[in-house]
Amino acid sequence: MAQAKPIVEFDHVGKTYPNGKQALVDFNLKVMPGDFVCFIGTSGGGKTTAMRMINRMLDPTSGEVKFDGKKVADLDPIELRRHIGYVIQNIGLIPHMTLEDNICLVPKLLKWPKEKREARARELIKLVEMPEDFLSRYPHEISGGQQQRIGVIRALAADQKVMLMDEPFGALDPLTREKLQDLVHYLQHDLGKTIIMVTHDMDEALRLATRIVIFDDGRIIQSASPAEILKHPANDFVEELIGPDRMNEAKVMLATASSIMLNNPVSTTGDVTLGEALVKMNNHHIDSLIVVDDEHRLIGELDIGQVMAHRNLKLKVKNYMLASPRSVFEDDLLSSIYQTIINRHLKYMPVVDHDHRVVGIITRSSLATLLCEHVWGKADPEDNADEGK
Amino acid sequence: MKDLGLWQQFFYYFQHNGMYILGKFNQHFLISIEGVLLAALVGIPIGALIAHYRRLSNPVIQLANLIQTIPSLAMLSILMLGLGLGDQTVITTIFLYSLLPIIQNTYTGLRNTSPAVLDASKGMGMTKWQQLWMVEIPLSVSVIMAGIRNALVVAIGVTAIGAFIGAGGLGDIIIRGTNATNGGAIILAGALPTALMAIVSDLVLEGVQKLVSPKGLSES
Ligand SMILES: Nc1ncnc2c1ncn2[C@@H]1O[C@H](COP(=O)(O)OP(=O)(O)OP(=O)(O)O)[C@@H](O)[C@H]1O
Ligand SMILES: [Mg+2]
Repeated sequence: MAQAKPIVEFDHVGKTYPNGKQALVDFNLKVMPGDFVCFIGTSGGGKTTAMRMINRMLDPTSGEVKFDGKKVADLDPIELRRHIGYVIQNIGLIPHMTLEDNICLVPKLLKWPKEKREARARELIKLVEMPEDFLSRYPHEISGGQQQRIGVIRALAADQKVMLMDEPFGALDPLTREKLQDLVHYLQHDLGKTIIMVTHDMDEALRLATRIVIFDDGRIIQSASPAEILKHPANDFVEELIGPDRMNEAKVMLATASSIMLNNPVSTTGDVTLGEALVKMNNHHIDSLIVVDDEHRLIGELDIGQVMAHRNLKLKVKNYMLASPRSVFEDDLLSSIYQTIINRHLKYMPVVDHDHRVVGIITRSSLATLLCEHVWGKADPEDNADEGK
Repeated sequence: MKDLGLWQQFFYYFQHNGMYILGKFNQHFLISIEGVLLAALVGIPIGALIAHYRRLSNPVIQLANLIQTIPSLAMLSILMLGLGLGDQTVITTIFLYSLLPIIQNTYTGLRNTSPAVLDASKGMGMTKWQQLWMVEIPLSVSVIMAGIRNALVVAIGVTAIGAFIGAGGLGDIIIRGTNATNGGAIILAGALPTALMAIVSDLVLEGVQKLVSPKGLSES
């Protein structure tokens, strides 16, 4: 990815409106092909202004915006706009055109032949799981959520590689919004579209973005991956934007295995006998042991069940242990490991360093306590009605 | 009793002068529609222009408004000084009167196009002309037609008065009636078709208005 060229680039861009309002100040940003960039921040922060410069709905008063390596100022705005998808909050379907004509508007402007346009319309309406005979309907004959679905596919009808979306789902109910989020995630994740989206919804940004750009008063406050923003919010403003609940959840989910593990798990080497191992379990009131080699590297685990099955307490542990058990690295994030432990009903998970030396253990019960306290302790997980406060 | 006499006279006049009245009717209609069409030809582009250069809209609409306030008889007389007797003066008068409703409705129609629809159209790469032809005009055609309808009804009335300066039309018959002693029936023979023409034109144009307004707009 490092050698890829940015598809959209802001190079010291400034925008001062005729009334003297400085909407954007020395704005720099590189968007890579396949990125999902979310613009978020205070109202009036300059998000829409920045976005509309990409397809030259606005021109900067200083600096350069580049599209695919070329300065947009040198490109014909009409031609440019036909190659960039554009989705707005108010949808803007053309009311006297059928859904088919709406979807195929840009292909028509690009003079695609009729059959190709019709095939494209059918293909796209299938993508959003609407029946084909909807194509002959008019916008007012479908629901708001369906309208915005058409709005989204209209923006990729001519196979635009980049899509701009200005608060596209702001006016939709949470359920519909979630469906549309799935759709745009699919477009970016599976079809490889580059998406730049303005949103007010931090959950939406965290869920969809590969990079979140936080705006305040015409400046970028922070521009980083969702995980990075959650882990290291640039300042109080960002922290406030994320909100205490999400910060809390993030703290847990972004905790590393080493920060939540129990240290010094009871372990044994493979050369001891089953009898000695049994004594060790008994002394520590546990029902299994981690087996390590001389350098304390994880080589297996021994469950009380295995001891009981053989009864011959003179046998060596290394011959009867469970070899190459599951483990996680000490710097793995909880968000990536908790589901494995919970869903696979593991009692515990050894934590190792990158030389496979055992450094700790995460038990199912300690994990459950942690998750309950910090993630689901305060609010019902289904309840997201208090967003945006 | 006297009323009955009037109506009998009216029918008698109508029966014996049918072709004459029909000729006047046609003449009347053509004068009216000619003035309105000319006004549409000029007024719609002006309306489109001021919708895009909004700074011009106030002076233009105010001017059209001013013209509208001049009483028709005064307007006809003033224009007659320049253009002489005949239908060209009446057509010019109608043209001037029709400008306001047509310009204003075009302007209003175009300005009322939803900003979201315009923004999306522009953002998808339509040229200004494409926006006008593919979006703005279709969306305002019904309002523009309403302006034309309005203008035509006024025009039919103005043409009737225009007979005083020799334009012809049904007004001729009315004048003839006012000059004759006991000419009530003749006045009716001119006035009733005039009224009928106004009502029917209005109805027909209402139909046309519905016909030309695009399908997707009929919110049920
Ligand atoms: N055409 C304009 N003329 C003058 N000032 C403008 C214009 N458009 C936007 N502004 C101002 O520029 C600033 C940035 O506006 P912008 O629309 O980019 O903000 P935003 O981040 O998109 O806000 P929101 O979240 O409310 O949509 C605001 O202060 C706004 O008032
Ligand atoms: Mg905005």
